[in-house]
This record gives sequence, C-alpha cells and structure tokens, in this order.
Amino acid sequence: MKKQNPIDDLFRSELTDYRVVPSDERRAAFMREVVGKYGKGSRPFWWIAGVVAIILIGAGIAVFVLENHSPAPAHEGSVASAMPSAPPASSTPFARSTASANTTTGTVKSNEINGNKTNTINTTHPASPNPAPGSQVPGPRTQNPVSSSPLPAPRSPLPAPRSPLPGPALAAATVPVPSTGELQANPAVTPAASKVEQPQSSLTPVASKEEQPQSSLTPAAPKPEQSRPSLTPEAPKPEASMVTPAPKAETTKSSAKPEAQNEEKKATYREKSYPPKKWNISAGAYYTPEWMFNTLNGDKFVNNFGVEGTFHFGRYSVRTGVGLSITSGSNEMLRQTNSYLGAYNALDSISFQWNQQHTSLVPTYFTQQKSVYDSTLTYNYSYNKKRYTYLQVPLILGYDFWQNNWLSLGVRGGAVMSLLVKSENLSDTYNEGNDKVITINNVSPDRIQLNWQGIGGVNATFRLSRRFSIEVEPDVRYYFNSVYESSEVTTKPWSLGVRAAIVVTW
Amino acid sequence: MIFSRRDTAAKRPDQASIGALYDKHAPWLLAVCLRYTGNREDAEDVLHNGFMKIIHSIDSFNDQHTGSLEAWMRKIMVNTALNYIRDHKKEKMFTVLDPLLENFRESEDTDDFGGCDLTKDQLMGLVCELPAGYRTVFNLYVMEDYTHKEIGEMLGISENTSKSQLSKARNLLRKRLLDYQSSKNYEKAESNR
Repeated sequence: MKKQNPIDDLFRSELTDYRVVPSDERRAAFMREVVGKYGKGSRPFWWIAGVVAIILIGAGIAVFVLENHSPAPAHEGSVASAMPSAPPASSTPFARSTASANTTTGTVKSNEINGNKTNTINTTHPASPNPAPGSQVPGPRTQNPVSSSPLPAPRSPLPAPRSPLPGPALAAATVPVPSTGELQANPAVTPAASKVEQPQSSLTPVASKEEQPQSSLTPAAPKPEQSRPSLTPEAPKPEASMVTPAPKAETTKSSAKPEAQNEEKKATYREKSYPPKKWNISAGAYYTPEWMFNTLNGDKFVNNFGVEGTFHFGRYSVRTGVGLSITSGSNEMLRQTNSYLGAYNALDSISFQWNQQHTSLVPTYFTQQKSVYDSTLTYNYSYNKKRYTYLQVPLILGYDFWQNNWLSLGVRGGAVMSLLVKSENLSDTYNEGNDKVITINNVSPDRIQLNWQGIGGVNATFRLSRRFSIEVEPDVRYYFNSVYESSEVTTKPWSLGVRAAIVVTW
Repeated sequence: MIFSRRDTAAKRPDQASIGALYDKHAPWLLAVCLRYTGNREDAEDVLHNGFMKIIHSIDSFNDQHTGSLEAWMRKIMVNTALNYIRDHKKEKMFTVLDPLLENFRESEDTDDFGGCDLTKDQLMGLVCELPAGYRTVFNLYVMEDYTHKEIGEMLGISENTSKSQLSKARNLLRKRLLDYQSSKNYEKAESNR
C-alpha cells in the first residue's frame, strides 16, 4: 500500500487529464506513414511483382523482336528469289542446290574460278596423267554460264563435260544455255554428267568430293575423246533426239542431292554439337553481390557465394546447393558498471596464542583485501562491429522461355534458407578494468539465427561450349522474417542482387 | 470494435478510422510522452513511434486484450518513451550523489499543497524541468502507479535507487512549489501594504 503524499496527490490530480494537442505537421506525417505502410497493402509484394512484371515484359518484347528480325534460313529465301519462273517439276531440287550455293559470294567466285580452272586445265595440261573419262572439256570451247546467267551457280568441283543436251532442254531446267549444242561448262549440269556416268568407277569419287575446294578440279579433267563416247550411250533417249526433259530433271535432282545432304550434314553436326537432351544435370559455382534495404543500420552489402547443382528437364529446372552469405553489421551495447574506487584490508579473523615467556596473548590478524566500488551506476555505450556468416540453402525453380544455341533466357523463383553459423566480433574487446560489471544489454538487436527469403529473378545463360556456360541472374529477394532477434523490430528487408555463375553441364 | 470501418482487403483499419483514433487519443498520449521526455519535440517523436506500434498491433489487442483500450495504449506509449529515453539519454540518468541514500527511508511529507493555484501547464513545466532520472521514476511511481520493485526491474536499477530518485524528485518539486507560494505570499503582502 502506497503512502499518501501531498506532492504526489497534487500532480496526480492535476496532470491525469492533461492534454497537449499534437501539431498538424506531426499528424500529417503520421497519416502519411500510416498510409504508406498500411494503406497501400503490402507494398514490398507489389514492388517485387512490379519489378518482375517489368522484367518479364521486357524480356518478352526482346524475344519477340529477335524472333521477328532473325534472318530466315538461306535455302527458303533463295528459292523464291532465284527461281521465280522455273517449272516445279524440275526446279525445286535444282533450286535448292542452286540457292544453297548462292548464299555466299565465295561460291560465286569459285564458279568463276571454275571456268578459269577449266581453261587452265586445258591449256596447261592438255594431256592429264589421270584423265577422268567423260568430264574433260576442251578449253576454248568451254563457257561459263555463271557469268551470263542470272542464276547463281552451285558449288561444284567438277569441270563441265561437253553436254549432249540441246538448248531447249536446258532452258527447261532454267539454265540459259547457248543453242550451239556445244559442250557447256554449267556447273549445275556438271553433276548430271557425273550422275550419268556413275557406273564408271573413275567418276564416283569425284561426286563425293563436292565439298572440297577447287583444287579437286585438277584430277577430274578428262580428255574429250573419252567423255564423249561414254556419255552418249548412257543418256536416255526415248526419241531420236539426244536428250529429253525427263532425264534432265533427274539430272538436276541428282545434282541437288549432295547439296541437300550437305545441309543435312551441317544440321546434324549442329545437333551433335548441342544435343537437345530431354534432361541433364549441371553444377557450378556462383557469386552474388547483394544490396539489402530496409535494415536497422542502413543499407547493407552482402557477399554470397557457394556451389550448386541444377537438374534440367526440358525448359524447366530445379536448382539447389549450399553457400555462404557474409555480411557485417554493428550492434549497440549498454554496459552498466560500478566504478572501482580502491581496496582495503578487511579483518577476517583474529587468533591468539599464549606466549609463556612473556605471559601474554599474541594476536594473529587474518585480513582479506576487499575492493570498494562506487554505488553509482555508470553507463557505457559501445558499438560492436560484427561479421555474420550464414549458411544458405536455396531451392530455386526455373523456366526457360527462350533458347538458342548460345543463349537461353528464363525466369527463376524459389526460397532460400539462411542459418547463422558464425558471428565474429571485429571490434576490440571491451575491457572494464577493475570496474564491476552489473549488466550488459544489447541496445540494438543482434542478428537472427534463421531466416527465410523469397527470391525471384531473370536468368540469362550464355553457352561458352558444349559443357561450360556462364549464368547471369539479376534477382530480387524479400526476407519473410526480420533479420534481427528482437521481436519488436518488424522491418523486413528486401534486397537486389546479381548472381554470376560458372556452370558445367553433363 | 475499435474502428467503425475496416479495409477488408488489407485487414487493417482504414485511414478515416485511424485519423479518428489519432484525434481522439493523441492529446492525452502526447501529455504522457511529454511527462517522460521533458520536451515537446521528443514527445512528439515518441507519440509518432508509439502510435505506429498501436496501429500495427491493434489486431492483437482485439484478439487478446479485454481490458481498457486507454490502459493498453498508455502502456505501449510508456514503454516507447522509456526505450526512447534509454536510446537517446546516454548520460548518467540515475545518479546517486550520496551513498547513504542507498539506504534511504522515505520521509513523512507534511506540507499541504491543496491550495496551490498553479495551472496545469505550470505543473507540467515543473515535471519537465526535473532531471531525466528523477522524472522517469516520479512518473512511473506517481502517475503509472508502479512499485519501486517494478521500477527497478524496468529501469535496471536497484529498488533503493528508485526510492532515492523519487525522494529527490519530490524534494525538488516541493522546493519549487514552496518558492512559488512564498513569492506569491510576498506579492500578496506587498499588494496589501
């Protein structure tokens, strides 16, 4: 029961209903903060959602623009432009081979070289030591249709033989040929000769060397005397004329086959280089600089690094691993001490002994040194700088919405668990000296032992080779619980980071 | 039901309700804060922080507390004020100059201040002029009705220190009041002369 005191009664009675109206500025400030914190719902969620939406929209637009402006495959565009009036029966396979050869200027040059080479062969090596029967063309009579034809010539290492086909028949194959009936050096027709003469063993390897450069022309220069009789009996002759359109069409088809095969080979090679497996596993090391916001002691920089493994299935992936997160911070401590004033020898006990010689008692004093402290509490505030090391275990789900051979773009999202494993004191140890420490309290709270974060980001994977790739992943984290121990602290930080990783894929 | 309207989507009281709550309770809560901080600027800071806590945890009051809303708000505000003082007053708050006061025994107060005609603002001014330690203990003991033991636990001081702080606060206030009364009597005598 408290005693009544006139002072207490006076102030209690007078000040109980005392009122002070807050200023309008303070009220407005309070309402602004209330509206900012509660009026707009969960603001961090909308921040994250907005950032993710902007990133996704931007990535989608980029993908759309990239896909719409990427050049079409060479053979498709060239067919339409190079063969506008060609008959369908014979033009399609021929056009493919022609167009595929037309995609590079190097091929056109090779045709020019082809004509020159032919001339060279005929002039410098009139009698080749290894003549290919049925493929030798006399130099002066050879013409290069590439120079006069609007059609690009296919790449062919073979010299043109003297063609038995008349002009109209060749015109049907969309290759303008002079009507002289002379042997044409049209490379488009050249494979036909090789096709026609496939039974001859000497030509068979020539057809298989179509990918080789012009140097392969040299051994394929036969004598005209040998080529002419060999071609004539093998050309199909339904009528008295030498050539009908049907065999010519076959010839163009057969000439297109090696080019098409080349394209298929290239595609197969590409697929072999980057095989589209249904699933694979990758492992790597990552480093993520992270900037935390909405913390008690201002913004913080965090270093995250570790190793991780990813399981890919199709466009989806699951990533986990283990890593460390290192950050620093300071917490304020209050120490209450009693100051040391000195010490004195306090009498503990006295013992007496009888001295018979002097017939008296001799005292022996037992003392104990006792410290004297000021009863006033002394308050000492100090900031301790600390380094916190968290063990992190992420579980991230991913979806790649766009891929090509060297780049894939996707979104990632998941959760990260952080467990405090080490807390180092970077400041000097407080030395209270002889003072008596009464209490030590944390004024600002220490970091929490366990927290969870939600993470979302956009991933870009650059393939350096079949196995190695680099990942760059800007991400946003939201801390589901406060990173501080105190239950009074309700601030939940969020952070921005950029994850960089080197990944090996199996 | 504390709030007449609630934002059902956010499960929070809407702005109008918060504004009404603030207008109704802020004046007397600011007076509580002023008694602890001693100046209006700090008191408004404490009021701001304390009211944010109140709004933040208003649902817990609805769910758990069945007592008076005013008592609950006062407790939050007092705790906020004590934390604020602890964080911002880093000098020695609770000084005991005379070690003998550790064994202080409360003395009997016989003065009667029933006829004191000081205004409430003047009385509040006297409280605000007290040193922080005196003021804190005086407020907790006299206005909040805590015991010395509870005050000692709250402030991290001994029970006797709390008693000595209260005694010094009373002595200081008594001295100020007596000075005021004597000066007033002197003025009255001068006017009668």
